[in-house]
Amino acid sequence: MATDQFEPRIVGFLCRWCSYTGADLAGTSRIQYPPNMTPIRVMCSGRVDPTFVVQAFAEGADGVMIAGCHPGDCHYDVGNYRAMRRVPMLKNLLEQFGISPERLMLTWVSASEGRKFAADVVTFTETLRRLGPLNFAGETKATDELNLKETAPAV
Amino acid sequence: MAKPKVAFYWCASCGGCEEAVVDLAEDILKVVEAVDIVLWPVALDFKLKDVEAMADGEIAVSFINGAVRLSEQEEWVQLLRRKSGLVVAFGSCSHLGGIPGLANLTTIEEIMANKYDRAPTIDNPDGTRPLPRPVVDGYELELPTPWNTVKRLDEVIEVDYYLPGCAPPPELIMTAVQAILAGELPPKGSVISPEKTLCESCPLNESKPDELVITEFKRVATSQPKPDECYLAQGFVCMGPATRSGCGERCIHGNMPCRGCFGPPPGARDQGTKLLSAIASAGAAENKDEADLFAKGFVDPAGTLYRFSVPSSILKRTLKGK
Amino acid sequence: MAMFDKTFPTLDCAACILTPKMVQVGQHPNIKLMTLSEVEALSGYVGNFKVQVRQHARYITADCTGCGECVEVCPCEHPSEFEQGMNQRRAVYRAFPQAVPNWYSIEKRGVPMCEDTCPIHTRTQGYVNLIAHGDYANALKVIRDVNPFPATLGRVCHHPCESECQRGFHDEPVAICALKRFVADWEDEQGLAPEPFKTKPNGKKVAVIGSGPAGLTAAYDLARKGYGVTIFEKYDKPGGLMRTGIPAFRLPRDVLDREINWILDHGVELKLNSPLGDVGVTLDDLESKGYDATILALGTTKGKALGIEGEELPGVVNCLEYLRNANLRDEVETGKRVSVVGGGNAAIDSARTALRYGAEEVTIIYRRTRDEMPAIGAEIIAAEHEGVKMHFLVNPVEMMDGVDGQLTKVRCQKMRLGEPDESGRRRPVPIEGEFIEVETDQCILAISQLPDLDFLVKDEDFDLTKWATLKADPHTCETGHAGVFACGDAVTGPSTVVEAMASGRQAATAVDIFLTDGDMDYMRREYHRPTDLPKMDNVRQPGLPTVKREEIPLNPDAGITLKEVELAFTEEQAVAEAKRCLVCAGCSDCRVCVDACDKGAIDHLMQDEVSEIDVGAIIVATGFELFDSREMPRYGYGRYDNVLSSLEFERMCHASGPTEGKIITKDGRAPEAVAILHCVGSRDENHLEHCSRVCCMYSLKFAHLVLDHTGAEVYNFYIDMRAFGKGYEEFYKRLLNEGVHFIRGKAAEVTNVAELPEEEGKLIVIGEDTLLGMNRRVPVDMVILSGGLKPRADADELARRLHLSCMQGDFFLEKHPKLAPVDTATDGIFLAGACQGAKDIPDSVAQGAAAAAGALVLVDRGKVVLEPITSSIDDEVCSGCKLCLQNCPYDAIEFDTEKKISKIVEELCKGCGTCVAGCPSGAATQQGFEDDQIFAEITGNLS
Repeated sequence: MATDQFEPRIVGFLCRWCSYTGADLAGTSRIQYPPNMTPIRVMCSGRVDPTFVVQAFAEGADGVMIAGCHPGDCHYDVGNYRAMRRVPMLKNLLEQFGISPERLMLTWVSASEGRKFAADVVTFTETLRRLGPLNFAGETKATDELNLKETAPAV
Repeated sequence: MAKPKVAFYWCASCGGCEEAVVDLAEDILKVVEAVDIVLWPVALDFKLKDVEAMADGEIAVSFINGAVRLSEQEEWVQLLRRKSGLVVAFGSCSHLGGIPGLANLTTIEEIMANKYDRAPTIDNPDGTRPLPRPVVDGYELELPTPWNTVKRLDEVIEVDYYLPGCAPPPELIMTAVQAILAGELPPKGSVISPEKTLCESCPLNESKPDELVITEFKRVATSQPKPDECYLAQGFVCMGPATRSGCGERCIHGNMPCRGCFGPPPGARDQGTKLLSAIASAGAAENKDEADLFAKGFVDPAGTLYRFSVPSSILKRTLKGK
Repeated sequence: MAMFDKTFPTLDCAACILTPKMVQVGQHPNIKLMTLSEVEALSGYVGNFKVQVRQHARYITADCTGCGECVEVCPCEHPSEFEQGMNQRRAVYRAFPQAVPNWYSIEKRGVPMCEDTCPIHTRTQGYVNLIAHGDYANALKVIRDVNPFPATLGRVCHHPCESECQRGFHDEPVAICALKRFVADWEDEQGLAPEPFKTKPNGKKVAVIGSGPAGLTAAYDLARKGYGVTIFEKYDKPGGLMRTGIPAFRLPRDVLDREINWILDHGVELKLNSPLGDVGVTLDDLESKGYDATILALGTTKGKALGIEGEELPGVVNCLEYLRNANLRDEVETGKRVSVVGGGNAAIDSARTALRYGAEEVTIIYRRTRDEMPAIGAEIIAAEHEGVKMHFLVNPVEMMDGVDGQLTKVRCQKMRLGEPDESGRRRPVPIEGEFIEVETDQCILAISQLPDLDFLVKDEDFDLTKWATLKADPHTCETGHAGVFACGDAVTGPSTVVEAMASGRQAATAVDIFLTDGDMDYMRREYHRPTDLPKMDNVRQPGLPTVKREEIPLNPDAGITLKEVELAFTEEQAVAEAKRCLVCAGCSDCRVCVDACDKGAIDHLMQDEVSEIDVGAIIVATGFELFDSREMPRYGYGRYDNVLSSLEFERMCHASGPTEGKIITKDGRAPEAVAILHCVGSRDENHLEHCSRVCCMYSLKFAHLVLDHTGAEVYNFYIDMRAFGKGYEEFYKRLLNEGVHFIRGKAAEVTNVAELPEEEGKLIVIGEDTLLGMNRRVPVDMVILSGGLKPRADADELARRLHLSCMQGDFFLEKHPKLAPVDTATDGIFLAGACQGAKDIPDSVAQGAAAAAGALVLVDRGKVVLEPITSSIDDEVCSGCKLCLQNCPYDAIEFDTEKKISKIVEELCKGCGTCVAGCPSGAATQQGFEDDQIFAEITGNLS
């Protein structure tokens, strides 16, 4: 087993009703999945402010996962539709900041889908391994002072 | 008693802030009467050495406009910080990064390449570029070098107050000057403008429906907004809900949606993501495909949402070109 | 539970335990039972729920005394859900004798396609099913309710109903039209004369011009409503095209006369030889004679010309004139070699008539192919049978004459089929330069017909359409002349008898409204409005045996004469054919039950009622569904008669069940050996992963009952024995001692393929006995499949409506598996019984009590505690941008128009936080989920 494998850091925002319960079920069912995702429980995927996502990237996350109830199943009727509308726009924004849209995952996990939850974490972790570390703050800081090179004129 | 000394300085800016000072009109006489201007590169001939010769803290207040992106600007603002009792970031560029801050969405290399190689009006077969130390007529000159990342003033030096706006409106400037002269200063770090967002004072807010639904986006480049209906309700991206008021709704009166130059209100950590969240939530998309299409209709989200504030956003700059 | 015979392990009678409880509930003053009802939507929150309930129409009012007379007369049979399909029930039924409330209801699934398609919306399934039951008189009553011409239409209708018959998608459509003829002819054979409907004259007079199907139907409808109707007919005999166009060998004259006379029996006056116009009656005459309204049902009397060279030659004749002469005068000039141009019924009738009046050779010339011919299929076949030749894909371009100026040939352009036109039929396209010549001495043109309206258009109140038909309002049938209405072919262009009748009915309805409340807009609003009931389209019954449609008998003596060619079904044929009806609508709408009910409690027009009820707590106890063993074909359920599901076996054991408690095979024998298969569907990752918990024990109960009732050898195939409850292990021991053969191993297959002599005629259960380590083949007479318990098919839909979560398929998810087993994630909604997961009766009852206690706690306390996670908006920060308003699904955000800011009504806020995420100014915050708290969590997670 490779020990120097890149371990991405994932911040997960899980809705309390479906996805958090689904994650719980994955746990109580003893389903194995990588420990790369650390969850933050919110009441609804609609609570996830895009500001949280950029903050997570700015603070060193390699990926952000938002999980909510399946469309039509939202405990709050339509909160997950808000998440569904924000994410594509946020992805476009992230791309302009040089962050691959693949680093933001929106998925639907119902309370009974412990297995799906685990599979999503596995897939997402694999995707992020492929993309490699982001280290947004470190990388941007490194470029901060980058000055115009002292190139000689081609006379 | 000697009149308090005042300095005006400009960094990466367009000169509009200087115009704003002139826009004080007759009021400028009151200012001149009350203060002694010791530095104003656009109007008066003072040199670096004149400022260096002053005692630390000798200048009562320095008004600095423009973002910081050259080594020279960094030297100047650090000098002024030393010599000044108060430093006021004057205008959007020093407050938030401003229009020059959009450079953070690309790299200095790209900008140079566009400027010196790619632009259709450029004829530069030798690929000549400006040099930090060119030799002209046998003399070696030292020119300032541009940075890859444009910075807000407060990323370089400590700032006491912020006067927002592109440019700050004259009324706001007078308010600030009078407060400083009278010694009635707000808490350090304050932005001298109301804390509520533009919708509060916007004449079009009445026309905004309670259940706002945006079905698709429109752009002022391709269609003309109706002057009597909330721009968001018409589908134009208006930064008003995520932007401080105090500007006098100048853009709105000019039939132009708010572009966000006053920056976010205190409760919004990131002006762009806050507005993105609000307008995306109001979309009509009912499934993933519709949501993708809806998002696609929003052209250049970063440039729109952070027109004046890329350097003050959470992400600050792009990783592109790394 | 009501479907069980005995409970386990105590072997009590399930009905004895359940019935008193059900009756108690039914009679309790504080319990309102809403049966046949569905929850459609839920809003509100704990203590303040609003539940939208749809109470499905029962079609029987509360006056029902439960006497059951309606069941006796109901002709529609369906498998009884309660008896697991082993018994039939009627369309009017109650679930079972002890049902609470003990009311009957009628099952209406929707509008059958046959009825929907019929232009006059005959309640087709009604009369078909009455015929199946031998109730011919009532069948005729159903028909005559809308149709005064059962015998006529039974012969000549183009029966669009049969094209839509759902049976037709399985094998062949029911012969609906022929069944109609059967009952009509039956009445005549019996010498019965139908009684006219009783009417009460209302003193108003209506004139009907024309006695074709449209005019006669309008007259019939108006007469039944009490109007004094006079029909004015141009010719000397009534019937319009039914008489002048349809030959006697299809519609005998006595049949038509009888039916017209029956209409006249309703007090309708008929004036023959009375054409409309200057030579006969005028509209002014009618007005002056006191007619309150007039209906023009003029029909089409002019044939359409081809517009080609030579059409004026002697020998070229129009079909209307030709048929009229034959049908009214019984003499018509007919050539030796007759050609007929056209592909409709008039063409076929002309061709067949020509054969009967001396033609030696008849050829039909049609420009498309046989598939596009609009004529009734059976008529085309009959014409071919009689020797009529058909030339397809040819179009006449010239009538050619010989030396004496007589027609000799029809020159025709060859055609091919192109793209479909507006009618959906492929358009014929000429093939350049290719012609044929058809030798003929008489050519009958049957291409289309037009009304003769020249005399009418002189009056400026009347206009023609661009198709040269009479202009009338398509909804109200009104013409430009006040009080004059128009209908039938003169308005619509050529149509069929039943279509003309529909048009006549529309005009009669319009006239009735015109002469009563005058609300002509009703015709626009309501007349063609479809009912709220769904259309019974795409009804499939898997496993339905194929039954051939009865063939219509032909008259062996008819030959090519004027005698009727087709005969009616025999009674046996009719009953057999009628029984092929699937009664896809549930209730056939024959309405004989209405007469059978003394209390007048039956209302076939009842509507669903939707009501909203306020409740503080909700208990969901929707139960389970039995695993459908058809999903495991290797056990042969549905293929072998004696493979039973567990619920079927429960019903079989029950004293009031389909076999009155006798455990017998399908052919009535007592079984000598019975196998009981445990875990069918359960504990199987291809089907239900869970253990259904009850099957081991009810399988033991079955074993005991089989032993007790029959003394047969009993073989239980089990994986392992789960006797987990109180008294269960003891029950298992008892069975061990009773001599049941327990075979540890899941049965692999049930087959009827015998390998040994003793297996002949038996079902062989194959499985591995894992205790003995050997394969077993056990020949038995009956196999009982102990199917697992699965969530109800519509559980996910209910979950969505009630905002519940599901797991293990669609079993509802409790709040906590141990600490809150009957609560749900939504406060105030509780779960009880098998809807939450497979469980036995004691556990279900315990959960029911627990859920009741949970609800009572709420009621007793009278107030609810909400989680402190609500959102709020800071007055000082909110700028009133209103963007939060659309984010709240609960309307908990109000816009204060005074202060011009948004406010959150805390009691309504459920704490989703969506508005907070969407607030651009940061004015909205959520307790416990503040931005700074989440930022801190992000930092914590990443540190």
